[in-house]
Amino acid sequence: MSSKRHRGFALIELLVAVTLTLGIAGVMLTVTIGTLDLWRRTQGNFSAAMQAKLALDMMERDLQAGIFRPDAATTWLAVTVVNSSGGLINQGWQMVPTMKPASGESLMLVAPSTNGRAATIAQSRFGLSGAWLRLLTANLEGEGSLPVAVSYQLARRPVSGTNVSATNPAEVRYALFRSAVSTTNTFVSGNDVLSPNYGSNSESFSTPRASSTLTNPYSPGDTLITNAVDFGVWLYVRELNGELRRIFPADANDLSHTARDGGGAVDGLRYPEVADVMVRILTDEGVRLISVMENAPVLLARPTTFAPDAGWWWSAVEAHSQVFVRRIEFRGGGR
Amino acid sequence: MRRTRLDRSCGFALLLTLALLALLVLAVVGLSTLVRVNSQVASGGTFQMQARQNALLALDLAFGELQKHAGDDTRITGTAGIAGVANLAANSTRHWCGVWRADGTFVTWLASGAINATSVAGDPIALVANGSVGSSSSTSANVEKGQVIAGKIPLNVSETVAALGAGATVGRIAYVVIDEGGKISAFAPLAERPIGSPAPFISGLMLSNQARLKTAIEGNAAKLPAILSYEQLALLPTPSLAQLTPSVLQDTFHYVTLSTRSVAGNQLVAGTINLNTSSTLVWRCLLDLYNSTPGALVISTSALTTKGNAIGNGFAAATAGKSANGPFTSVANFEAYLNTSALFPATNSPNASQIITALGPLLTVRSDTFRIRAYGESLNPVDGRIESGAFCEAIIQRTVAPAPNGLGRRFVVTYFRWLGPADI
Repeated sequence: MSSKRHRGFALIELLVAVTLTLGIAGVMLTVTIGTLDLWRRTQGNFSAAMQAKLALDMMERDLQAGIFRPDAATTWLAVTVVNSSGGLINQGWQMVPTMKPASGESLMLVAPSTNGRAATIAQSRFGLSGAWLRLLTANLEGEGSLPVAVSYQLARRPVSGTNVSATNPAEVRYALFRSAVSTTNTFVSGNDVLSPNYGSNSESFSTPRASSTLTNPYSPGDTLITNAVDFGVWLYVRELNGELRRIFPADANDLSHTARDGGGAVDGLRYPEVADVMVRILTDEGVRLISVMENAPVLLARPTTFAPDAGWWWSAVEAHSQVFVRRIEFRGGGR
Repeated sequence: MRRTRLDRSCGFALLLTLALLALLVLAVVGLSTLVRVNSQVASGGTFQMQARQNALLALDLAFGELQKHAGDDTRITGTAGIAGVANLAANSTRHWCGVWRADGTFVTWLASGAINATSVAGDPIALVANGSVGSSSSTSANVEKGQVIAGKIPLNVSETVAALGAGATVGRIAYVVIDEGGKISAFAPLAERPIGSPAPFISGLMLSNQARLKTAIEGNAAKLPAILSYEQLALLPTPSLAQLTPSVLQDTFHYVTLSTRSVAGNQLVAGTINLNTSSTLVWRCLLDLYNSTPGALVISTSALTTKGNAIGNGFAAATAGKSANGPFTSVANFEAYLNTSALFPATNSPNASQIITALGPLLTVRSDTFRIRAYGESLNPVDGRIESGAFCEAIIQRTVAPAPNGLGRRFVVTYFRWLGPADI
């Protein structure tokens, strides 16, 4: 009798133990999955923030050391927003049918004010190309802090100059590039960032170019950060009362700025004193989603709520990206 | 038998508990490690950013001091060399910039922590060192390679997050202002020079390394307008000589600059030289410049070196036209000194009047172009350890525009750059 009771008790005990174990394991699994998901998202945000910090720190040092002389024949700083895919062929873009749209959805240089509050640069969109920023600067380079010509631009292209293997091409990503011309080539090519000396019509991005260029960046050497899908800049001058007045973009249709004059000239030619820069970076989830949307559309159908691909692309990007902004003062320039 | 079954049950539960605990500990350790790594990365960046901000603070402080003390037209500037700090490797304050009133009374040294012409309060830091001038041990009568120091000023806060209610030093800053106007301009366009002023140049009597820069400048006149900084002169091609090397610009750092501008009435003029300098190299260049002017009664090569050295080395003494360890307050006073000195007696040729007639349009008694070197460091508030440091440099120009608050004329930053330790 005693032996039977013990066996029955052992069975119940086992069942209870198994049930409890499963319950505990289930709870732990749920908690663990939740924690790991939270951790992954936090890591994604942290990674994006660190990438943004890297890019914005570099921009800050470049813009702080921006060089300007009152010489109306020389463009010391230029910004161009290109919103057509044809305009980016020379800058090494790799196009696909579904990608960052070259349409009105991508171009909102100055967002409308809401509830009487002026929009900030964080709400802006800078076209297909993002802002293509070029300037002369004396940032600390490997060759010492001598003057160099520098450009910042976005491009959608392979992240590596060479494929991983013949059947395994290098992954295509949106990236923010910083191209710095060597001190010697800058000296030879001159101080005008719009000079043809800094142009390049080469579509090749597989090998580094010996010549100086601010047009077609070199992968991977010029890659500043990957997964940046928008990059923009607002430029200001300071009024006598200390307030900032935006000179670029002057309005929603102002797609370029060429700084040649420190004062007295029209706003479109003035060298700025302060800049707001923004960069929009995809989270890891956003990278995966955009990659599937662009490279394997058969695996992911566009929801019917989005009539064109453009709205779908931007909706996905806005849901899975972060915008980082920094205000930077030009320290040189002599105004 | 019963005891054995109980043991088995207890063993199973213990095993299960230990396994779960192990998983839990593993997860906690993993997460905490990642958090620690991330926080270390983030805090490292924060210290670096603080150091850069501190360097900019030092620059702004120096800029403010310059505006406050040297903004007025009546102020006079010069180097500490004219106050008797000799050209010796150990004298790392010789190139400080001082400010005097119109009557020659002293105002201040534009260097952080300066107590007097030869010493600083706080830990000294070299803001002009081997990266700028090469090894200071090779300082001699023919080459000035002296370092320039400043004192670190602590940045104190009343409390920190780590220790509420307890004060701490979270950073230190240092700056020094260098008088560029007392140097020879490598480029002074004719249209911007004072009327009747010759173009300044490096004397041909300098050491061969310094003469390379002279050759490069004079052989590339068409390229000079596009040069943006003194350091960029190193990129000038010299087909007939060996390529310029960093040592060339280091050898000339203390007596050559890219281009100076001075306020003359309501305009800026180029190429002027502040005569309140004790640099024998500058004086030799000026006397050689006199030799090059049309109709000059040429000073012999040996006399040129002797007289140039005599003016520079004797600058601190009390003479006609100035008090001891003070500046000349006008070009006329300098002429009075030359008249009474044995260097250019009135009965000889050239005499003081002839020298001043030739060089006078070029000479001033103050500078309007300056170089500021600034340093900032961030300290760990817990143990006071230096976590990060940053150097920056700016070229400052006094303009004709009035400054706010009655501080004379307005200074502006014409060129700014971050420096690495190797550039210092």
